[in-house]
Amino acid sequence: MRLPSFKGGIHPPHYKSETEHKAIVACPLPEKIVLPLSQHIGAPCKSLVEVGQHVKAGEKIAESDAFLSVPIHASVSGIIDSIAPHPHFSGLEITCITITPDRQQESIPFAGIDNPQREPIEKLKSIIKEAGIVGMGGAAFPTFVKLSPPRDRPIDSLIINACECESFLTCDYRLLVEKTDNFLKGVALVMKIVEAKTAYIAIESNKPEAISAIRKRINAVNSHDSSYNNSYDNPYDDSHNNLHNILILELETKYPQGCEKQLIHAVLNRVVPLRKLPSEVGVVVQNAGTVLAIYEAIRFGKPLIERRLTVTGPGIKNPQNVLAKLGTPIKHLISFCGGWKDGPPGKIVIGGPMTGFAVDNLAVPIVKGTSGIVVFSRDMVPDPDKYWPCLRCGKCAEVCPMFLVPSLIGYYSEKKRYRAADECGALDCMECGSCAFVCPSRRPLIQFIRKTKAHLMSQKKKAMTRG
Amino acid sequence: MKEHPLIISSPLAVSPTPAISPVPRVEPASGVSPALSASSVLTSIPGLKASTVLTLGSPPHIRAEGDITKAMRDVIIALTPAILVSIYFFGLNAIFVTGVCVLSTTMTEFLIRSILRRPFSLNDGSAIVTGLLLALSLPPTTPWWLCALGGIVAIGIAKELFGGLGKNVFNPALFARTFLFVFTTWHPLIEKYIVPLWWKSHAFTRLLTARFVGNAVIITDFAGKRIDSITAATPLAFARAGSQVFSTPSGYWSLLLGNIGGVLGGSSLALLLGAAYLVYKGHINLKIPGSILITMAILSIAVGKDPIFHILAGGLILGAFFMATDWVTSPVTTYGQIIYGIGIGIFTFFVRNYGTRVEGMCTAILHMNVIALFIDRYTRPRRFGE
Repeated sequence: MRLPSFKGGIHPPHYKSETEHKAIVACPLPEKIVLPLSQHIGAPCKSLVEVGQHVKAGEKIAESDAFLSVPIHASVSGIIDSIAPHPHFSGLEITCITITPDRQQESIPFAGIDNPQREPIEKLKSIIKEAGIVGMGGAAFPTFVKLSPPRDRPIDSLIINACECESFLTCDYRLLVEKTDNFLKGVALVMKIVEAKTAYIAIESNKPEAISAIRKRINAVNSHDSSYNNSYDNPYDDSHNNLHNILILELETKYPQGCEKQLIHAVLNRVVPLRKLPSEVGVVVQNAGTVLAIYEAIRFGKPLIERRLTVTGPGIKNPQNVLAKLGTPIKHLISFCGGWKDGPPGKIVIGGPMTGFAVDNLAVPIVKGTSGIVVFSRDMVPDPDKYWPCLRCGKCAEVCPMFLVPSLIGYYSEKKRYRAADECGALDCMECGSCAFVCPSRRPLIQFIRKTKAHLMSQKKKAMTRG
Repeated sequence: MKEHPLIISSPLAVSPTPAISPVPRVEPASGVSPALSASSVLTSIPGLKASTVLTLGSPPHIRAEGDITKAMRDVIIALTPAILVSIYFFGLNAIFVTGVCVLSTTMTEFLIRSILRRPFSLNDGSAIVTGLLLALSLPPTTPWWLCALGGIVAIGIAKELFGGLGKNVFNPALFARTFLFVFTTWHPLIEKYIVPLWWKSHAFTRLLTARFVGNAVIITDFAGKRIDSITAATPLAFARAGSQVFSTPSGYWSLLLGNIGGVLGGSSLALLLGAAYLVYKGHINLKIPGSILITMAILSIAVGKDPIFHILAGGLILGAFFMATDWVTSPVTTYGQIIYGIGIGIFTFFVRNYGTRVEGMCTAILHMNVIALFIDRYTRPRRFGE
């Protein structure tokens, strides 16, 4: 039987075997914690602290009045060292709060809610906002906004994105295996918040352990297994009933299975209209890591101050999944994972290999949306400037999950014919990178598309200021 | 290259207090590059020398196996069976024609790129592929200077004049072939075909060439000695004359093997074998060849002609799988490729059966090449969710 999936897409090598069977380990504290004031899509935060001030872990240190924004919390206790521009994975310098961790490591008291299923939805949403939770799959869109679809668009389905379709990354996989119980409680909670009748846990077929762990747990809860009830730290009936409506759905292992619109199509066979949100078709999608963060924030009162990420790649001596405080410089994480293997690396990527950012500065910290660090050895890094003209082979159009013709956009972008590129749908590209992956001419198609997008955006801005 | 000892050398010490595990300060090695050191906040990376260069660049950071060099290599591999079969049937002439064509295309590309100071592109192998395809579409007795001229036209005019690899409108090999046919209209040097396995009654190593003597084109060897009674008509010419000889099982078998008078690339079986390899490698898909073959079959049946004969004869397999699927000159979109294939099928059918010439594949593809870009424009797929 063919597993459900979307049309198009690619099958990159998984490279997951190095880390998928290793338990997540907590990373010790670094010398400095660097917290950028903008870790999400939306308005950047303003600092609430001053240099020299002592903060405790979990203390709110920055926030913004804007709607589309979430606060930032100190991930450790310590002294504020500086509030100054600091290298960021985007290649820019972004204002960051730097904290020197102290030896005591006190945290503010976390106040959780014992029985979240009985709380009003608005209260839960405000907790999620106050906890600073954003989408942890990489996009870093504020979660409370995503959980508040327009009133006239009732949500019937919640999809939990546990695909982790990027190569190399296994932190969500390990999270599902190790934190199955809390994850499922989180799913039930999010279902309540968006008032969805059904939740689908969408997971790719290359994560059998996670699938069986979740299935086992759901069955155990649903059959009211006595041993399960005993171990259940805080049984709440509502959640028990809810688990009946949580379905686990195995999808074909294919990139980009985890892209929101493609995922909705694969799971529910619904098509989100172009440039519209999933709520248009009655769906909310949440990443698996985000769901766990939501549960921990509501149940235990823990703000988003740490995350799980995969530190891996052929250039890392000891690849593993790590639980690290936000703001940990990647240099520290790399050293924690044994440092380089076989000499200096060729490329360091923040995020997954298909969409991540290459960095040239090891002081760059991890942020809320950082799902991994992939270190490539030198022999795996081809010269990015060496590419051929487009041979019009059409492979990019075959794999594009948005059904664009990337070669054409690239061609127009290269010729600076941005309007023509716009007509080809450059703005509808979500930059999954499938086209560039398959391109036999090795053309930097994503770069061409980004260039087009930047140009079109600046023109729009110009037009707006003029008009 | 010098070996650089690396970066974070010492292992992490066990934390002194259970509450916190600070990383012990790693002493910076000497010679740390200031360029790579972090801003004022953090110390630079010990051991990372100035010569350590991290590559940046836009995602994706992993790429599929294979680039155009490998793709061209695969096309050369795919054409090999057809070339071997042609050597078997036509003797040393097959090697000679192929050799001259490839030499001519590669030399032309080298010279033009030198003159125009364009970066050299011989290593991508596309000139070799053009040379092979040109050779396979020529008769074995083509004079050497016509082979050479074909190569010069293919690369010089059809490819480099348009801007080089990826910019050409016409399939270079077919453009050159058509050029040669037009060029030789007044003395049809390349419309003389010889019988397969002629060398069994002469000698395998004997080289033949078509020559213009008086008002007739004759086949001679290189010494100028005339060799008689080895000329043959092509299957399409047979069919035009009303012969059914190739519409029998043994006729089909001859067409499959290439045991016929015709161009070097006459063995449909060997070509299909190569095409299967290309499909397996993912370089071509069956949309274009499939729609050509199906169109041809449907039209043949509709007018009461033998569809199998029309698919196997006249270079249709060579054209459908190796020329029409040429990346550069065919449409990109799915519907575009199907329309393109159907167009070639219809065109070929009408030229073959009702035109002044007996074979139409070559002209059909060239004509469709012209509109390939327009087909693309009008068959752009609907976006997901549009």
